[in-house]
Amino acid sequence: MPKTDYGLKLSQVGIDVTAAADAQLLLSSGWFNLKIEKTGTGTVNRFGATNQLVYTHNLGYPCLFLIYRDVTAGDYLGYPVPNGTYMSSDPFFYVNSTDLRYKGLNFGGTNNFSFRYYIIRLNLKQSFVAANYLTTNTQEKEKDKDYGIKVAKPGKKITSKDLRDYTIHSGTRSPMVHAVQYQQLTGSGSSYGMTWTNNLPYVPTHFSFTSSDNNNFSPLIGLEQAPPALGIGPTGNISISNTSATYGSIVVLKDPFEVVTPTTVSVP
Amino acid sequence: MSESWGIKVALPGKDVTTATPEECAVHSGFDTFKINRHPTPAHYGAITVSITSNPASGSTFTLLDIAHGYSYRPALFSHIRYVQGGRTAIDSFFPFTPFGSGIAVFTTDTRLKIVLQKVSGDNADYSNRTYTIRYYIAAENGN
Repeated sequence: MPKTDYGLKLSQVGIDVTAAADAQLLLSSGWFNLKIEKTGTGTVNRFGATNQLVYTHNLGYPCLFLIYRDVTAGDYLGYPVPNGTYMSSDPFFYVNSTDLRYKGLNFGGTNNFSFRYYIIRLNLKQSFVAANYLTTNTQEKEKDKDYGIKVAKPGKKITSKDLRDYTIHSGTRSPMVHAVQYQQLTGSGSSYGMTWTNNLPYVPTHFSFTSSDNNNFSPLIGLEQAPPALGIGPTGNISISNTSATYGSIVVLKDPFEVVTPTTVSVP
Repeated sequence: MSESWGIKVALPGKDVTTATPEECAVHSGFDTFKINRHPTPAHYGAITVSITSNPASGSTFTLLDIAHGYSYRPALFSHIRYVQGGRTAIDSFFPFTPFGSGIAVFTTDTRLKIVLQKVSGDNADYSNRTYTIRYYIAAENGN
């Protein structure tokens, strides 16, 4: 039985750690951050085979991954790419217990694109709920600029100005995991799917995956013309529905979606 | 250089001496995405875009264009949220592709940009839609 009064917290500069809300913490032993197992670049053929190997991770479980694609010369786009899994005929990246792979269209011919991938040490088949959470921000106090923690990577200097040289740096924030909900999809008809019930006071950032064989998992995006539908209700519940998949996994980050008041832009 | 040096913080109920990386809240043996909290403009934020009238086919609108201060293309996180059919949906990382209409969030060697594009030949009506786009710029490489 874990003791509930044990642990470690590190708050942002100027924030009382004993009163800090989750969003004001840099780290907490009550939950974990996204640990990068491997990053690299690759090229796949959109018109190519349905099982193109990107990277063999051998972690023993389907893991969270991120893909950044070169959209046009010089520009990079966020994840997932391309086209997600909203139509089975479209290509997509998928992960299983040993590999990250790409499902091409199998047309024949060549339509290559390059990308960067990140393999994260997070098991999509292992549910997790953060030990505790505070949601009310505390007032920022006078900042002590000499305060902080830095852990440099092996071979890198602790005086480096390059944030990439650190595994931990209290001058930064890292995405923190609030929950992982993995389950077999249940229900029937329009109620078939799964729902993560939001216990945060904001709409969280999240990743969502589905699988038809409980082995190969591919990411979802919530296109308007989905299926499958990735939706979020008025209270922030995240749901997967309208899918032929049999398993789902939702990874919820503590980084809030609405912690910053958006600026407004009108188009045209 | 010692390979045995570092910091590990185990999750509640886990023995830090035997905990796997997955059972650690923090493990200095692994890199993580780091979002700088100090720069101006900020490396995180959100915009709400209201499409008041239907954009012309083949048109592009730059919704946000900020310098990130790195001299390489950094990784990013983004979410797009919109209201559809009485419920709010979230695009868990974005519908835009080079082949279709949508909203792109991307980085170059110097900038973060958010662009709305309606491709030529797309005659759909996108008027009266509201999207909220959240972004984080990480220090890690995006290319």
